[in-house]
Amino acid sequence: MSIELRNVNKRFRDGRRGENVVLEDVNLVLAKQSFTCLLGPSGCGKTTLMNLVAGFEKPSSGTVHVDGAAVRGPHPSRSVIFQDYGLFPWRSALGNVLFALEAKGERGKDARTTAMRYLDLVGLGQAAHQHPQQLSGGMRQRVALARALAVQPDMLLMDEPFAALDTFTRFRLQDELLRLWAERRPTVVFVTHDIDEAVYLAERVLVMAPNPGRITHDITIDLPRPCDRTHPLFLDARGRIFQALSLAQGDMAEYAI
Amino acid sequence: MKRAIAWRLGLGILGPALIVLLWWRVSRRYTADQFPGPLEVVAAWREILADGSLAVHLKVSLLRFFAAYLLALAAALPLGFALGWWTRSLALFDPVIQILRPISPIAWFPLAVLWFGVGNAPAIFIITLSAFFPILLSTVSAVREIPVAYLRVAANFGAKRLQLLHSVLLPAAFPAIVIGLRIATGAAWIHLVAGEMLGAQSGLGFLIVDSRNFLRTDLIVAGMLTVGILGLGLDRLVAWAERRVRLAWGLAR
Repeated sequence: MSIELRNVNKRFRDGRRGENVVLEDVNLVLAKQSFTCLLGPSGCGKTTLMNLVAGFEKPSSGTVHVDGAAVRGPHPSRSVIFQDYGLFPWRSALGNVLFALEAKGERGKDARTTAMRYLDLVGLGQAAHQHPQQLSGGMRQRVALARALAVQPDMLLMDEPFAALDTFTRFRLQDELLRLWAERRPTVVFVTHDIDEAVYLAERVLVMAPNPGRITHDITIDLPRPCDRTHPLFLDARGRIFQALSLAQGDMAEYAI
Repeated sequence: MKRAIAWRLGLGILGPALIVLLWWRVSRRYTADQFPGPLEVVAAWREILADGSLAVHLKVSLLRFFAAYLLALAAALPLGFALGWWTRSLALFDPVIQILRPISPIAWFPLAVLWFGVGNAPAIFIITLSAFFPILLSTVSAVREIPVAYLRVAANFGAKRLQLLHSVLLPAAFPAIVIGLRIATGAAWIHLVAGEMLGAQSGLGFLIVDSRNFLRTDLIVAGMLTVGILGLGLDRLVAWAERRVRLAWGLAR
């Protein structure tokens, strides 16, 4: 799936102070099967940008097209992964994956087999009957991933999915995400505020800045995968992004310190 | 742990025992007709237990209670979901609800008798009314407080309306609704006695009114205590159900 945003503006009413410009004049084309990270500090509109592509929100002006068609609302072909997992606590891991299949009209034994296959894919076959509250954060995000993949989406939209996880779990899930991406090649839009994560995962990093939210840099990461976090090329890419971020936030004193 | 439970159990028995003792001591200063003591009440209990009238009153009261409770559920749940889901409908009807809610169900007595005559109907009407508002209000706020994330997940996977309702909205709102159900149980049980004083010819409320007519104060107190003990039982039943729901939903105990 390819994505095209043209002259996209997003404003929210902000009480008495008038309007809050969350995104200003965003123009963007993302290729089919690409892996892109949206990177920036909080308030730069990266989640809003993702929500526009997902169809959860509509632009105040401008257009959002996916595969040439205007986005009118959310669609199963564009699966969203949330930071807080978005799992239903009253359903088991299996039940959560089944929900996605039920929505497609798949029921019964076949649906169960499919759901189990995706839980196995993320290494959670053993935990199928556990409820989310019995699972660790990393396992919950795996369930969410299995649920998103079970409907065979063409696009994965991930909103800081690993931000709440500890470093080791995050590393493991990053590797797993790359493995799944290499296997199935969905178009991935991955929102993060972690520079290392962006470099490690993405082919392309879009650096964003707040007030008003906008894309300031478009950086191509050309590293052999899977990449080595200590390799000079990795550090070089990291340095380029860090520089872009400081340029983007030149007026933000706290960032300079 | 075991010791703590033993202590709590011991204190839980000691408290009522002290009150009964005090009751007994005070009652001795009056005639049994004025202020029946525990012994007279136990005797009265055994009397209505033996002649079977207690069983009849109990059965009728519980039937009315459950009928009214189901009626309140049937009316308040769908209405609560609709008002919680469509924000504009709430803006439209909320003032009406807020005006009707503080009116005690007892204030509806004259109209209830006028509309429904005497017997089962006005009693059930009063009990339904008292359970209706707690269920309605807790349902409205439960639906409004469903996390947006759940709705987004459902929309993302393309859940149809029916699936959204029974697989997301109902289970997501349920733990908060159950709290309203518990309040409604208490309110309905309290108003059961009041409702049954409206010309009903049976039930625990009738037992109390009827005993007054015969100046049987011992039976009045026996009736009152029966209402209290059953109310406690019902509350424990709903509390148990509430705990089960919270456990199944992964919420804190």
